[in-house]
Amino acid sequence: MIEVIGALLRWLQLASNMILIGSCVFLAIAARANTAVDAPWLARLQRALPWLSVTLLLGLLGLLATTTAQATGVAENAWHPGAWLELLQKTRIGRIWTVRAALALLVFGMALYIRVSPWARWRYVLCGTVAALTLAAGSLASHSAAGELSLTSVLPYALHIVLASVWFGGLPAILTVLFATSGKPSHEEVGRVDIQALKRFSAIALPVMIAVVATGIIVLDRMVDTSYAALAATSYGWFLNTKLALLAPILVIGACARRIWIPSLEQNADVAAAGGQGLRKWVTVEFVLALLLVLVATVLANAVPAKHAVIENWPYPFRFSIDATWGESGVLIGAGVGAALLVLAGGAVVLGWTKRWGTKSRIAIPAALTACALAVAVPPLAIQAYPETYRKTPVPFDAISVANGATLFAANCVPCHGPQAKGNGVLAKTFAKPPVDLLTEPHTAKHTAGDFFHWLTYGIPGTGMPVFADKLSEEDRWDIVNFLHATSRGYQARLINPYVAPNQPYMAPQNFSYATHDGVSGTLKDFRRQKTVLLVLFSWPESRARLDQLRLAYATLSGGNTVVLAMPLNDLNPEDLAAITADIPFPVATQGAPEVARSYALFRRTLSNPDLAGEGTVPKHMEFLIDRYGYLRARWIPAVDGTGWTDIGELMRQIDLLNREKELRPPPDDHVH
Amino acid sequence: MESWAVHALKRVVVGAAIAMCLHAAPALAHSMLVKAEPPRRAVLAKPPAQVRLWFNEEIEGDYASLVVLDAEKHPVTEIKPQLAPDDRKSIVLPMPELAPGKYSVKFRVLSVDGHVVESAFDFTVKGKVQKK
Repeated sequence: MIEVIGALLRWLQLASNMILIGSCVFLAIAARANTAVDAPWLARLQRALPWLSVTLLLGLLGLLATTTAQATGVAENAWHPGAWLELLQKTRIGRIWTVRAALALLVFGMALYIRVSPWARWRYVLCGTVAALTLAAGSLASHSAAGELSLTSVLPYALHIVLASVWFGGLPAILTVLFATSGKPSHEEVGRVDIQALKRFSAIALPVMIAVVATGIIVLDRMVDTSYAALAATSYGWFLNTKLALLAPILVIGACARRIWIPSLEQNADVAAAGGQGLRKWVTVEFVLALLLVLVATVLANAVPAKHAVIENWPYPFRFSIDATWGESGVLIGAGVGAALLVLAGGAVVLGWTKRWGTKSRIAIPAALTACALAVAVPPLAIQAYPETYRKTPVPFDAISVANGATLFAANCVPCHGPQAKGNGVLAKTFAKPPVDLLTEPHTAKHTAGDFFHWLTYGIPGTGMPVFADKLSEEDRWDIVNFLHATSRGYQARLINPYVAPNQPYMAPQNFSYATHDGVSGTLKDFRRQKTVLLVLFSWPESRARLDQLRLAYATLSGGNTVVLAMPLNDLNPEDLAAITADIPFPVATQGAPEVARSYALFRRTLSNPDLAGEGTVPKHMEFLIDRYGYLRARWIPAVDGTGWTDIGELMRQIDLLNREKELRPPPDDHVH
Repeated sequence: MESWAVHALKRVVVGAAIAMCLHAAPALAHSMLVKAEPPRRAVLAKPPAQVRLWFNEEIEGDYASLVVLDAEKHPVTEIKPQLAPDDRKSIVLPMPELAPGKYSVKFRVLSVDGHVVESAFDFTVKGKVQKK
């Protein structure tokens, strides 16, 4: 209930603030000193300003009450002024509210002054500016400001709502002009509106609307990022679609007003009267649609943005994916034919304008060609989807999850899928359709993590894949999904060797947490944008000589902006740990190592030794170079690669290559997709 | 007399406004927990001296709640969490000496943009669990 009241109050204060801004802009632009005397609309509009300010103040007060209840998690605090004061003093949203309330009070005072003072443009400009600051201050507590509070993060959103206010807030002012005549107007009176006032405002309406759309696209891009599926399956997406659907008729009405109705007011009496009627009716419709649009925008501003939204239930049995379908028969042909048809549609637009086709032909021919292009190109990109297809895994892609997934896979999946997920378990041949090869075939790249979660949860009808919903917890099923991703990445990583391929970061390893013998704890991610990591998975006592060599080379490695993290592959007793750490200058993990060992063992495969037979063999010693941006770039396995990094000079050359690189890709994601 | 369009729109607006307010989502979090110490579901050889959480947005320290519950759902400490002195995106709760067993971390924080983040995770301290 508190959310519903909160949404209505947000709408109330936003709408009144926007109308205040728009009215002041309208008064500053449309009115002239000589219109003040005999224009009743001017007096009405000026009388409305204090009431709008009071509505804004009441809306802000209600907003403070509901925000206090939401912030504290106690509904009763909505009625507790002490809790309000605490919120105002102790939080950023409280301080922003204080600034907004002070500015709103100032607007109220100015609105009262405007009402009693003679006409002067500067008063409207000042009142509108303070009202705009009141509104813009709210953007400091918006989604846009959530990540970092900076001019570039807040400015597009602040500009968007202030410019939208000029348009939206101007509509009631236009209606005041149009309905200035008292009672039921005569046929002639309808056409005798203050045409100059409307024309002056209309002149700025178009550039303002273009700027509103442009800033809206910037904000939208930041809120959606690449989560386009969320636009068709989340509250945020539906409210955004509703907002755009409301905007379309508003733009059409605005265009008609500008091109048809307002110019007609200057023609003969009959045409002017018809234009006036049209304006009255459709600007009223536009204002009502705009009120609804602002309500949608209010809810949208408080909804989880598309880029963070969780698509719990994808409502369609299909989805479109270039990645998953590219290379399949028909996709390339469909894309080619579709592109050709789109080119033809573009040509038809140009021809329509240059050869002066009729309006119907100019619209119908390019539209038909575009529809044909989409009909040919899009269907081949469709693949099967499930309600869980776009569900985001709540379990991070880390060593703990992958190691747990490995354990669960070994306990539940090996008889059918085989010990290494190659689809060659002892029962595989008993099925009409044997399990797929999840190790060497790119199934995790072609299907979403949610697809795998669906199959694990509900099984696959017509195959031997059983239901695991009643056997494994949700978290466990996500662990298996993470393990399958790590398994597939491990196979792709066979291309990695002791030599860095410059400027080609592509392998994202799982994050891990650790605590070391000297009491330090952290995660792999902590080194991002700071240090290259040499991750050493060692066995004791087999790796004794190598650890000694690294100890001696530690100063050189540190000088190369590299940290060494040593992780035992086997359990160490206290005596062994004491022996290893006696004079070692780099940290040895005492916590987190078993999970790192188990999950990073998946990166043991090389081109010469893909290790596909049986359960596979984990080498006794492995070393990995992870660059400053979180990507696995080189690997040395003494048992396979020979002397390799025993030549510290060779190791330093690889590190030097990494140190010279700039950031080429965004850092690896914390979750699989 | 009102035009048909205005009349119809009034009905649509009232209906849509009610529907929209009923759909108005609670202030759901879009801030996220990005790191935890101890990590979620960690199995620790040594009990942690503190629980520390990192978020992707700055946190209002006075409105942060962080509780660690033992296997019997009893809080292990009455101390309130504090903002980390060096990082406004992080909160810290010092721990007493924890016995071996499974623990749940429950948190509710208010990010500076007014959104609430609420979740929970477990960790385990290795060793022989004393039966009560």
